[in-house]
Amino acid sequence: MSGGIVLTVSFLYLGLLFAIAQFVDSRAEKGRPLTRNPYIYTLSIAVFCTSWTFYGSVGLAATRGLDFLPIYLGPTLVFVLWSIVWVKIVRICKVHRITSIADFIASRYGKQAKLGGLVTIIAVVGTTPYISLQLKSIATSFRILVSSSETALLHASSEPIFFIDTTLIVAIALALFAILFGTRHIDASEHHEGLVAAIAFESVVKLVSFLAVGFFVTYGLYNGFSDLFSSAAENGLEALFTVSSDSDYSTWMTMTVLSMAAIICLPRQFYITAVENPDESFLRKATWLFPLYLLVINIFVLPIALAGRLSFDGVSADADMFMLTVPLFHDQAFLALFAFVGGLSAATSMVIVAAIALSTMVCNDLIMPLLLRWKGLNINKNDDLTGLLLTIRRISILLILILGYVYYLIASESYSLVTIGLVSFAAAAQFAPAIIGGIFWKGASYRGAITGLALGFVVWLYTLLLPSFAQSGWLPLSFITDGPYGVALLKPYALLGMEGLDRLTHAIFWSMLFNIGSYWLVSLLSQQTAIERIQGTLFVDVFGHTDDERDSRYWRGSATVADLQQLVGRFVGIQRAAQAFADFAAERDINLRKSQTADAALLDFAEKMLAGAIGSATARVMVGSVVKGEIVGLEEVYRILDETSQVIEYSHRLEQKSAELERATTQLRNANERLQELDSLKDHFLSMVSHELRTPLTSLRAFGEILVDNPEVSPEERTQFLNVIIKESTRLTRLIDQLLDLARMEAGQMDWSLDTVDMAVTLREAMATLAGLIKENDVAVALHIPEDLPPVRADRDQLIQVIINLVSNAIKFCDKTEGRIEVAVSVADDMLEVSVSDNGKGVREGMIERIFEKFHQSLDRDEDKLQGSGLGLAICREIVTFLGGRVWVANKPEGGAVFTFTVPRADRQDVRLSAE
Amino acid sequence: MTRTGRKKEWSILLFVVSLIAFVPPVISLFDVPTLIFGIPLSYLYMFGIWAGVIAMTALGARRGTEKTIGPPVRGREQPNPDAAHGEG
Repeated sequence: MSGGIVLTVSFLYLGLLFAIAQFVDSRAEKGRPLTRNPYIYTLSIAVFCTSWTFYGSVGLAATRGLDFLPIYLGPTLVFVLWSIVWVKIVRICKVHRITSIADFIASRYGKQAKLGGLVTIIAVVGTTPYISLQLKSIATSFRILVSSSETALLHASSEPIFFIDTTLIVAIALALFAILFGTRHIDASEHHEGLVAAIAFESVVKLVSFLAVGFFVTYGLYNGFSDLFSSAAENGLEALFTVSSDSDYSTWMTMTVLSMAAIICLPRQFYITAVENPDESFLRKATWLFPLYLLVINIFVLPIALAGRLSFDGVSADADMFMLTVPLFHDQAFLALFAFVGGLSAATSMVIVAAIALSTMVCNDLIMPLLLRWKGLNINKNDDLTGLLLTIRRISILLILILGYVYYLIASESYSLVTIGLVSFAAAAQFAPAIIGGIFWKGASYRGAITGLALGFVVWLYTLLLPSFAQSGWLPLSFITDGPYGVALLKPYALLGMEGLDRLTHAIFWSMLFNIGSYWLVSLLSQQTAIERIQGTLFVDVFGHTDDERDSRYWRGSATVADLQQLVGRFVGIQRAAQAFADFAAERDINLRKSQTADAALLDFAEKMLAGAIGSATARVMVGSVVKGEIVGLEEVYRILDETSQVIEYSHRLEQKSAELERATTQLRNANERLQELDSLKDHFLSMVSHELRTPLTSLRAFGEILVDNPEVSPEERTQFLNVIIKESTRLTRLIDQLLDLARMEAGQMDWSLDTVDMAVTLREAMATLAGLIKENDVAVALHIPEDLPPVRADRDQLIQVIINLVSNAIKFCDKTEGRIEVAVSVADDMLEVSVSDNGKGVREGMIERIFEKFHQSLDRDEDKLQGSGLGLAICREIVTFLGGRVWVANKPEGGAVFTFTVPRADRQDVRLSAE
Repeated sequence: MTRTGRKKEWSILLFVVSLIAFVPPVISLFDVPTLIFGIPLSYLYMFGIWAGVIAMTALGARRGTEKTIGPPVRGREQPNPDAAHGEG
């Protein structure tokens, strides 16, 4: 295939990426972000799959079988723990405006610039082999594709194209691309929408391209998986079907542990997963979609590796390039080109994200702190620093790529892709103790972290990186075989004589031993400073501290609003700062005057905003530079915080206790009042009852005595007296019956027979019962009963009782000469309303509520003492309330009272029925 | 999964179980080149367990499973005449 076509396709592809990024960014600026969904986020995390996955996995599988898998199983395991690890890290990054992994670690251990710088150095050195791996894969794949000869399939020539090394061209092209992508402007708070979209797009391209080759191999060259596997088995490749043929799983386990650490600690993974995360809830989807992506892209790794081995049987071919050479071998030039694009997308996505993440770290955590310390430069007086920041970032991207190229020149040629990649993983894994310890252990200290990182890094350099230089001839080979200066105990692949482990496991063992060991030990031995303790608490308890704002409110002294705004403006742009300050004021509904002294909240806001642009450690120094007067002694603040929180806790508990006591007291008081009320009610009731009983008894006795003492009473008088006696005793009986009824009802021992009752019939029946009384008193009674009354749910006999009581009550109190009573029924929503009105005097104001109480009538109707127990209305209320209705009385304007009660309709009371 | 606190415990359990499945000695039981339906057992085992772990993670990460437990709506909690009666 001609180099022109390949080059054209490559540049078209990169152009397309750039167009996507540009389009998404412009949409985002208009407030219509396209990338804010969990799928784009997941695909961007898939930047984990680089050339290593695309070419290297196949290469590894072609020699060691399933041994390539732990690199993908490790991340899966970490994402199983998403709710414990990732959510916490993402939340911390959002709360503290973390911009990179160096920022994260520096911020956790007291915002110390030195620690951030160390992390940056480790990250840059550690990532260099990884970048060189991408450069190597792009250059090699390009050379394979453009060379037409058969032999080139097996070993790509390394002849320079255009008189310059291909790899260098690739490195410079990628650097320019990353610069264009990532450093167009300084983003203080926004995410790189366009970048994320482009990376997601690349993830789709590499997946589709890999699957295309996989399908071609499995179903084009062979008849599916079983055919491929059985041909491989016949050709003696059975050893590749397993992880390890001799049950030695030490490499397998080392790689699993390494990849678990790497998915968190690789600077680009940390950046894309935690810093670029637009929404915490997206993790829910990503937590299983990302492992699924890994699984899918790995399904065809072994088949392609086997097909490669079968195709180039007996010839030593570069297994790392099977993705290209297998299609080419079978004359599928177009498919090979597509695979090349897939590999290109895998490599470019890694390089772009890594370069941007690293350049941010180099700028914020390495260069800026140094510049700030360099008094001669007098950077504090410069006006606009955004340009400086961008320049630093651009230059660092270029340098990082060139560093990768240098490593490629020194060491890459002799190693396979995976071997190079694992060196990087081992470096990144050095961050794991500081990160994981930092978010779960408050006691981890700055000294512990910096000692652990430094020692781990040194051991990594000594056991992995330097030996690779030695093997490439840049150091004498005796460094490996005999140890430095011939000291055998210091042999880099067998430290202290530890033989028998593979190099990776050996390096990981020693580096982690020193790293974790010193991190732990020094943390326990050293004293934490106040800011470390504060930051430690803020990180470990991030979910508890998110809502209150007391974090980092340890500025005292004064800075004016104008000072702060100018400071922030120098780093993030004048207009952007002005806008942010205006938003801040608007959000809190306050007015910010230029000369006003900034309060703690504003200082905090400014520091966080600066941290978004230049990292937390530098931001702290910068804010410190404008705050006049001194910063509060942190020890002091910590003590205050500690004491205050204890006091708050204590007084909070006291408050709870006293609230409980208050509640109990109120309940007691209420109960006591109720008891007293009941007591007086009882007394009242007793006196009432005895009064009511005595009246008829007195007259009974009086008439009885008259009859006994005067035997000469005429028979007419005798009959009259006896009638009075009978009437009084009937009244007495009725009174006692009613008393018993009322007592039973109040005690809830009444036997109710609830049924569906026709109100019209019931009313007429009750009126029939009252006919005698009506006639006797000569009262005109009018009945208004509408047609088609719905049935009610009630006890029929008790309902009659209510009507009788009310009507007889009305008869008693209606006008003596022209008594008129109206009984009317009306239908309401779920009730029937029955009203009984008379034309008497009405009820006295103030009696309206009390008239339904026992014996009230007899107490207050002092004039014309009437018959009746005084219990009728009380009984009415008992019955109606039990039936679920209400009874009340009102006065008519023209005189007279209206007693009304309601009864629930039988067709509207499913709820009540179910409650019975 | 009736209360939120349990999710973390479940995910730790899933983590431990999958870790056990992927390290010796369990892995060496299945790490053999025997062909089952023409596919190596170790290949089937790895991808099968892997897919299983992903499925379980997806189940655990579903949003708001705790919402399936509704408020206890029963007749007894409704206002009823009995209660009113008691006060009369």
